[in-house]
Amino acid sequence: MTAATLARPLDRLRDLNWSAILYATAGLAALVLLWQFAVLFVSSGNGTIPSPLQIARQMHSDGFAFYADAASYTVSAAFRGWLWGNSLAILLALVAVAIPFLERPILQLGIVSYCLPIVAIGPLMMILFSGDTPKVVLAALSVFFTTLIGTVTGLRYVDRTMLDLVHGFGGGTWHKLFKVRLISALPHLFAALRIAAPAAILGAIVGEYMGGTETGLGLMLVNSQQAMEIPRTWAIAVVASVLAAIAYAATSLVARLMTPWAREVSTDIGGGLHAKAGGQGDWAMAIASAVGSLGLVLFVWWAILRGFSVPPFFGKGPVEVWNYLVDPLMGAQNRAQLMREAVITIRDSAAGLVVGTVAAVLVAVAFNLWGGVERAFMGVAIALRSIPLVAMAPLVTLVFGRNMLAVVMIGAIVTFFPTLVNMTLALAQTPARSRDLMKVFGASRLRTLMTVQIPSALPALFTSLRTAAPLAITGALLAAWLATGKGLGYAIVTTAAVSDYEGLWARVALTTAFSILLYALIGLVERIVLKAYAN
Amino acid sequence: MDRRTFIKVSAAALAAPALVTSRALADTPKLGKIAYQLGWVKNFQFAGEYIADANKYFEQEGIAVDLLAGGPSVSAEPIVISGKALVGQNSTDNTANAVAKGAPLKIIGTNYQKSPSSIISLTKTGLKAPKDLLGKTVGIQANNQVVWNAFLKINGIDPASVNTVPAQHDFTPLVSGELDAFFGFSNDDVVQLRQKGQDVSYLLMADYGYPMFNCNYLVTEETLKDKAKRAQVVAFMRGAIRGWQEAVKNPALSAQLTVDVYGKGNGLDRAAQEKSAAATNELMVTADTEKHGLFWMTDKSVDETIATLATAGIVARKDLFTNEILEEAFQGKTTL
Repeated sequence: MTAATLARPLDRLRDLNWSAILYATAGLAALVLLWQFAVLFVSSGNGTIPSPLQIARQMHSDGFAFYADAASYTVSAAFRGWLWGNSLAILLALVAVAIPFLERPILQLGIVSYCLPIVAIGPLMMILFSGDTPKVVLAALSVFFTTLIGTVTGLRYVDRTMLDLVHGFGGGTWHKLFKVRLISALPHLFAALRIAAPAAILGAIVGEYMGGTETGLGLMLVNSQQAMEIPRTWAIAVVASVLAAIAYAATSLVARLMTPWAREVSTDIGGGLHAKAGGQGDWAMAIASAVGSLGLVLFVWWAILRGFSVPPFFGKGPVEVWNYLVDPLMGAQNRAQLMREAVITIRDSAAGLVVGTVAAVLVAVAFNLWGGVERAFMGVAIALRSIPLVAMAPLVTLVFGRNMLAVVMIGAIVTFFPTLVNMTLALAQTPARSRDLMKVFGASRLRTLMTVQIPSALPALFTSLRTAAPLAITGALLAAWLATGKGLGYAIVTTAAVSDYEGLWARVALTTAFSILLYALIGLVERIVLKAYAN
Repeated sequence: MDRRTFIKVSAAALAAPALVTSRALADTPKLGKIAYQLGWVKNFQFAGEYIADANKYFEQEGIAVDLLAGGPSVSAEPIVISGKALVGQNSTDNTANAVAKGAPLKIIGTNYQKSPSSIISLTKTGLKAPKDLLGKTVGIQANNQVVWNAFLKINGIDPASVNTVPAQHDFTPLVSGELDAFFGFSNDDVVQLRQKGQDVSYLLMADYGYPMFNCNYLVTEETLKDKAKRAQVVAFMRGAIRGWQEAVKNPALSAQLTVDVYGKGNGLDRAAQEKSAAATNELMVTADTEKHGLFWMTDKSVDETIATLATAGIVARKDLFTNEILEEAFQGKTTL
């Protein structure tokens, strides 16, 4: 984050790239045209896939106010969630950096919050909180981890000479924190906030979709689905993605105005953890801290159930789940059943993660080789990310069926976006000097990419993988609910349906544990690979 | 109704105080204020309670009632047990399951004497009897898996001979041809599909060896024992009975309040809601209710319901159901 330009904010705003906007418009137009023709000439699924024109007509006849009223309710909950989630994340990031002893537990809790299956947690929120608080909490949960990590990373990647300078002038930890670290952390923080905005909106919509709300886009989605108002269902999805795109763009704009010195920074989620854990492996320390973290998570689990006096009939703590697994009568059967479901979920998550990542890397490379493509389709990719998948479930099963293909597609859709964003930025950030060198030696564009850009983007790839891993598990759960009916995802809903709450909490705990393990596993591979590359 | 639930884990939120009608500010009725957890999003299914609220029946009975919206992932049992709502609504199998797992709940009345649970298909599929399901692909919500299995068993169909896949409350896969049949409600989903011009038929489970009343009012055992809370429940049920008596006579009013007041702005269609409200009457009003009053659960229907639940593998005891609140509410009469 060296001072690239010293231009004042307004100048910065003025040279907003108009050709970029032109490209984005062209990309969107191409997509809409393709869609229109596909519905007209390929298939409309017996009239269940509306064309853009039909959707536009539906929106016109419903009128602006119809969508605006519901959207304002949703955005209000999303905004409060965004505010709470980010404030708490930034505060805890400051604590983590100021008090190194607390860093690991804070980050571990953050990971857990990121790995919790929302679909099991959402209904719990509805028991714990009243009014629209459950939606606010879900929105906050959707942004908390990414902002926490973004801020910690930013606070840590500070120019050493600046810190030494402040130290030399007699500044202490707090001076360093506020005078140097905070300022230099801003670009990383904004990178996190940018993805937080669409995430908060999606979180609020999912919360509304679960029920217990008086109005909002999520509720409208439930009603339009049930009433077979298919064009309206799609119109709501369009509104959701437009809102997300606006939120993303607005955050980008604010970032440009407030941190004019910064180049674009990759979202870099997980970089913070990597830096810390990457030291010479002190295994005893690592194990001790893992045990400590596990204890902390179990305690928080227990404390939330107790603190909010969740009815024991519904809220099962670690002890009940343990008993469920070791029960002399049913324990063996319960464990075997969990194992069968877990195998399916692990397989589905892995498939989605691999396909989503490969696709994202290929598209990122294409973006890098042909800049126009990036400018045309990045906006589209961001908008697509914000469409609630539940709204598109009938389309997904119609097109991809209900077998492995559907599983892979849903997993890939969920993991694709963060990897694409990270890799696109990382490929673009290769040190200019290396690229110039390659140019001087007459290397082709492709060769430069393969020998310089991709290796230097490897850390970002691993960061993306770690970010995507819990998402891949979410994708596998989604695929089970929406399409296949197999694995932990479906068992979570069927156990709930028969009030088998021990079974439910056992599965929630198992799913969360998988996410964390996968996250840690990728971190391990990362260290090995990066070390190999460094040598 | 949480039959369509695809993530049925638990419970719903209290409506924010700000959403409560301003009446609450004026003066609190003598029995105070309670909350009723609805079994689905605010649609025609709760028209009786809307009328009781709008026509001040609740107020006249000395009670103020918050109507808490439900939805796909909301189930009333934990909400009622946690005390966030005094009364809740859910389907019989869900509540019986919860009670079998230790939830201290009682069912104090039923909305539907006859369950609207149906297997819905496009008429051209030719699904005329349960045996026609062989080899078909059927969408069943996770929450209705138990009911579905029991239905197959009662009709002597091997579950392996039907391709059961997960579904939500979106019937698009039926129309697109991806699925042959779908679990839904006769008074709701069938009406909605026909309203959209789809030629659909349905097998009402109740007509095929699956008798069960459905969508019941539930409270905790402790509420029944507590004098003050019990009085609140009686007042609530009196208001609800009066509201539903009106709703039965006037589906247009049900639709109007649903679309213009309680479910306003959420995209409900007035014509469809009115047809659904009218179709609900045949589920609510039977010879039994003519004789005993709305919501009443006769010994015979309780026995049938318990037997049906047993086929589904759910053990329900007779004392899960009680008419004691209705007895207090009706006081020997059959209408209020």
